[in-house]
Amino acid sequence: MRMLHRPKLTLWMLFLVLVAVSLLSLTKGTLPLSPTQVVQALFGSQLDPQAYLVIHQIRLPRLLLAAFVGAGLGVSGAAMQGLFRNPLADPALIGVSSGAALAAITVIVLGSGALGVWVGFWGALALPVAAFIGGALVTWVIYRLSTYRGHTDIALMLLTGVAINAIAGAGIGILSYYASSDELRTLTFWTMGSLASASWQDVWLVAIPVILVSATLPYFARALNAFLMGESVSTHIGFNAKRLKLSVIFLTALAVGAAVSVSGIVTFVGLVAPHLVRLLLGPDNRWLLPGSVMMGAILVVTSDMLARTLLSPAELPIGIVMAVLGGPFFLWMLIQRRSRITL
Amino acid sequence: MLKVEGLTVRLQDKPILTDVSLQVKPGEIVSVLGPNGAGKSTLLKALAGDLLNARESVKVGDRSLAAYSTAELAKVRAMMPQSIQLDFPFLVSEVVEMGVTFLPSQQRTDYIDRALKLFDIQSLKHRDYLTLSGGEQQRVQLARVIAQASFQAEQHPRYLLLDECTSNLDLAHQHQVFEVVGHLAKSQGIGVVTALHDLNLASQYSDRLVLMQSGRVVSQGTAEVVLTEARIRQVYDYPVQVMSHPRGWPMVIPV
Repeated sequence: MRMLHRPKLTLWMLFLVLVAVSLLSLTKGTLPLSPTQVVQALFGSQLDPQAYLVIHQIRLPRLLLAAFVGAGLGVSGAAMQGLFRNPLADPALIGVSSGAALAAITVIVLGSGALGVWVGFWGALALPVAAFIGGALVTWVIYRLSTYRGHTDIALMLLTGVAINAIAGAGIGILSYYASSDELRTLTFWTMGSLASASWQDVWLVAIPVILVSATLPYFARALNAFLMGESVSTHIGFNAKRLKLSVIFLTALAVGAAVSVSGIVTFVGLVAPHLVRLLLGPDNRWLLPGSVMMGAILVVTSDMLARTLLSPAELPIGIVMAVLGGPFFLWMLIQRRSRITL
Repeated sequence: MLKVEGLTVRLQDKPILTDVSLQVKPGEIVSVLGPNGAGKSTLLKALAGDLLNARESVKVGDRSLAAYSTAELAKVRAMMPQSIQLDFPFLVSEVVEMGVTFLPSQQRTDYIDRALKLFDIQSLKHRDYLTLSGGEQQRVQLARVIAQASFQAEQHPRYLLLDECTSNLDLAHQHQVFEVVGHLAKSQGIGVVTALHDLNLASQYSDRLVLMQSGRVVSQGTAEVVLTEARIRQVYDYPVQVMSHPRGWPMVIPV
């Protein structure tokens, strides 16, 4: 079943894969660079000023943005699957991402008007904070609706996600009537998920929460393991289930909100990354959570490389690439489960 | 001593338990019997501290469960619920390990091996839990709960609550489980409360029986006292005959 039995070594290997994919990604683009040029530019050599500029102004922020978005979605997916006690929970699939997106788009469109006070108060943070609140609210609602007597109904969870995605879609649709043509362009691009507008400010906005969440969630790993057998079982074993639930809802909303506020809705990362890590390391959250940080980053960095190069010089939104890869993967997971247990 | 006195539990204004009193001494096996919906599971949940409203009325020694933290309570009692749904491919050893998750890792391996050996499932140690049969899964969960109940020996009064823990097991394994539990209770002074449907299994292995009907305790005491023809007939609304097992305990036979 499990391919590797040495978890720490495997985590290091995942890290090395991430570094390798990142370097490869930095070489690709309208101006092809050799790995040597990339490494020289990374270490601050300005021998090749053009390469230096391309790396530091364009490709590095975009790469880091992809990596942090992927890490945040990956680790949130893993933690959410623990919270819902089901491997099919994904932030985008169950509507957390669209809840965050709706909140963020509301701020974009109404920021100059009705929500002027909000934007004035939070400044550059107005968008991510709104996305966080939207994400946390949706997670809480889904949890309350789909969990009854400590038992999560998977069908109810996915259907609640369908409903919330529809509601958020309608909300975004309505807001698009109020949007100026300029806002509309960012808005459409955004609902598809995109990393095209990467800036160093975005990198900081997503890096700080994602690092915080990735460092904190593993602290709950053992409690999450026990929680997978049910809320009351985890209490019997000695864990505070209520604290765990609140912490996971808060932390995942923080990471998803941060990711959504810089890249829009990128689907399936939270589903695919933990699943791949489970195949490698098993379901133990002590390894699954850090593994999903790495695997999520690898997935999004790779998809972004594909998004930039497949139709070069044109560019696909990353959300579309992830959906093309993740959709069939999700179907495959469903088929696998159908042969084993009822959904 | 695990004690509950005059416990009444209501759910949405419907009384589930009414004026239930029960005492369990260390080393004693008490079986809770009764037809479906009699309140057996609710009583076990109350004893486990799952029902927040009932925590005040359940006492270990002089201290009510409300005075324990979640972590402290885990050292005092272990509980096996009726069914456990686990949807992730943990190994058997990892499932059992969760019962002793607060021990240092070296001791943990010790307890896991011992618990697996008790139920004769060492061979399953490295198997994926999801590929096991229902009976095997139940024995793995029992091993987890037993591992939890037996760690930190002698430091605390300890109680083991088993809600229909043999429902998926064949005849031999049912008896094996009760032999193991009985031995553990006597050798480590663990008080055991089980909810059971099988009257004869209860009669054979319990020190005391508690017979419930519609949330009330109808009768409690030794098997000879509780299992009478008239009472069983009245509680289960089914005709039975009570005979004596060749080795001495009463046996209930439907007629």
